Amino acid sequence: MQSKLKRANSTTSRPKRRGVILVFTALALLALIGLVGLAVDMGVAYFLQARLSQAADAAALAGARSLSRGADLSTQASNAQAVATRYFNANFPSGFWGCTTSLQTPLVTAYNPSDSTHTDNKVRYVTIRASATAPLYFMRALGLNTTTIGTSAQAARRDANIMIILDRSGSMSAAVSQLVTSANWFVNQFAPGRDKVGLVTFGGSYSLVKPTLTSIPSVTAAINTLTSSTVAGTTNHSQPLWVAYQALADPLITNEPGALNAIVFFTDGQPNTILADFYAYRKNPSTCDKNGTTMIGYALGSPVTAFFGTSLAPPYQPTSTSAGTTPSAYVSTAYDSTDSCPASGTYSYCTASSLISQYSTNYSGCSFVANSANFTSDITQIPPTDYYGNQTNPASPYKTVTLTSVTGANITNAAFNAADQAAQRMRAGALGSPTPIVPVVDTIALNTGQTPDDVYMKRLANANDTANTIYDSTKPTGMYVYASTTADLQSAFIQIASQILHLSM
Amino acid sequence: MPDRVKRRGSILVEAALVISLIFVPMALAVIVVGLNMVRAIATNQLNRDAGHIFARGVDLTGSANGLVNRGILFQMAPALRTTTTSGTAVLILSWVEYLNSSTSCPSPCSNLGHVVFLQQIVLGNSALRASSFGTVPSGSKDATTNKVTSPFSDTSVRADGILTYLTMSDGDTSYVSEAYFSSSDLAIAGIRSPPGTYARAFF
Repeated sequence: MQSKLKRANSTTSRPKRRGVILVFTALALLALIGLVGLAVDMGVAYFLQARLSQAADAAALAGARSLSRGADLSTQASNAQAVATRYFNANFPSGFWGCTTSLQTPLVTAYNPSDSTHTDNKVRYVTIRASATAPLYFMRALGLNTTTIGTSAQAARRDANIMIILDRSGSMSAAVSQLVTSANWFVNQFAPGRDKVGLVTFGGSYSLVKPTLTSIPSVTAAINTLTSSTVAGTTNHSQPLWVAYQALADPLITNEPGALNAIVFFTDGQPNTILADFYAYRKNPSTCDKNGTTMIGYALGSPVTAFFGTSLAPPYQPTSTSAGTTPSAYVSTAYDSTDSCPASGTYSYCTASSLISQYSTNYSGCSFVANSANFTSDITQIPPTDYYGNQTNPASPYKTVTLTSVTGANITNAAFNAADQAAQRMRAGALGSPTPIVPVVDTIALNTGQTPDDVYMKRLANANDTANTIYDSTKPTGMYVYASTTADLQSAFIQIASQILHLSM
Repeated sequence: MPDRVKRRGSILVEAALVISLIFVPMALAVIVVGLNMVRAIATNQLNRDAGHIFARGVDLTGSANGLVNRGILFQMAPALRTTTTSGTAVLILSWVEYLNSSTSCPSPCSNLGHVVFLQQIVLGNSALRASSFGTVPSGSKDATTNKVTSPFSDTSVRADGILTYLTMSDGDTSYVSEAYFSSSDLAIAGIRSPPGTYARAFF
């Protein structure tokens, strides 16, 4: 009887117990699917948020980079907007993971939109705002079909003030055509109306062709006048470097600490010439002694024996007849009133012979003639600085120099040191008031037969390279690019332009 | 044997079946999906960071400074278990230019009308995957800077596939970053090859 009762109880309770696992599983599954669904949907949304942010970031960067494209500010802004939109769509294409995207028109401003003062500080901004409606897969069960994610990104581009220094010495005759093409390409990477580009060409002496820097097309026109027939002269590095720096720091021309200040220095040879006040002998009363006046002039070192004066061809100034293109302030610093040429009232070029004749008149008896054989007897020593104050034999020289020995080798080494010092002085902020201008210096060397001194070029650029033992990480780091042939020139300029654009962003 | 014990046994069996057939696979699936999601996000984030700093000109070459920066880059993505030369991920950074005129492609020019690599840097385990747009032969680029030595005349450095995704104008340059992570731990020998996560970005 008891067993029957037990059986009866068991038959009535069994169905209940059997359903426990089913119910438990169903409830657990419901909860688990909900949790898993939430995790998956949130994970997907998080992933899409990351992708959307990346797309906006890329669009802002590309837009800022393309602010250089266009002849005027309006065209540049339009280009930046178009490019930013293209990059956004490339990174987050329409329908990506089922999303519906919405990209606001990229905002291009000359001020930071989040800065209420709206001060123009030589910076332009590209701002991207985008959103995407992403589908939900599991949360639909709870009535949530989509979620909206949003992002914004901003990139800034500083205006750039760039002085290009181009070597037009005699050895460039076969390469000048490619140089013109490459330099023009380089100049056109920057934005007219915002970026400023100036031009210095040099051989034994310099020509500040475009110091006022506002019109990029005019710089292009000046570059185009360089031809194989206009290249001549020796190689003087310290003078064009310093003159370019003066142009960047001059308050009447640029002096814009808020902008990116850069010097691009191109050469195919090693320096062998310096401009300096040379200590000359004088006749006293009938023989030369060492108390003579100083005579400004150029000294050419090896491989040619030293001589006093410049090359006989005038410096190349393709637009010297245009008002404002060669301010007297610059030319006259090279020829002050004491040393001015007989052609008074103008700043025409002083040939060696005109200088020599001037001084030989004043100090007859000395052998001031444009003659390499007499040079060492007319000059007492190599000056300790060049005309611009760059030391020719500093405490830690790049090249060893004996100043009292006026030889071609010593003048060449002094020319190396002067240029090396010029680069270091400008990185120390020697000029510029009230804020010193500290430019980044980029260098390009072209092999036209002479072997470029890579270490020297890296020193000029403050390149971060083990060969550059004076690299200073606290100063702007420049780039050195070596072009082994003329075919590599454009590639070299591309790298430099890219580096400057990177620094401006 | 008492009925109670039998019933308990059947409940245990049912529970075991439910757990083994439903909950365990589900848990495994959640783990795999979660792992893949984490890796996809990590790969995407590494790709974004690398592309961003590459486009901004941070030195990622083989120079002393560049090597330090490479190390920092991979330290940002420890989930990928990758060093600058090995591991389970590869990162490919390319700088390209569209040459569509004699201005952008001066003589001697053999790549007129083409997108070309100007630089390509491959970091991590390079055996895992090549760039979707082409690989610059080692002989065509500088060993340290990874810059292409003759972008205008070397026909082996073309990267025209980029135009499929990105419209470019003459002279435009672009920075492309690609990252790939191989989930070798999710492979099943003989059945399933290692799945992977790929991310690409244009800067």
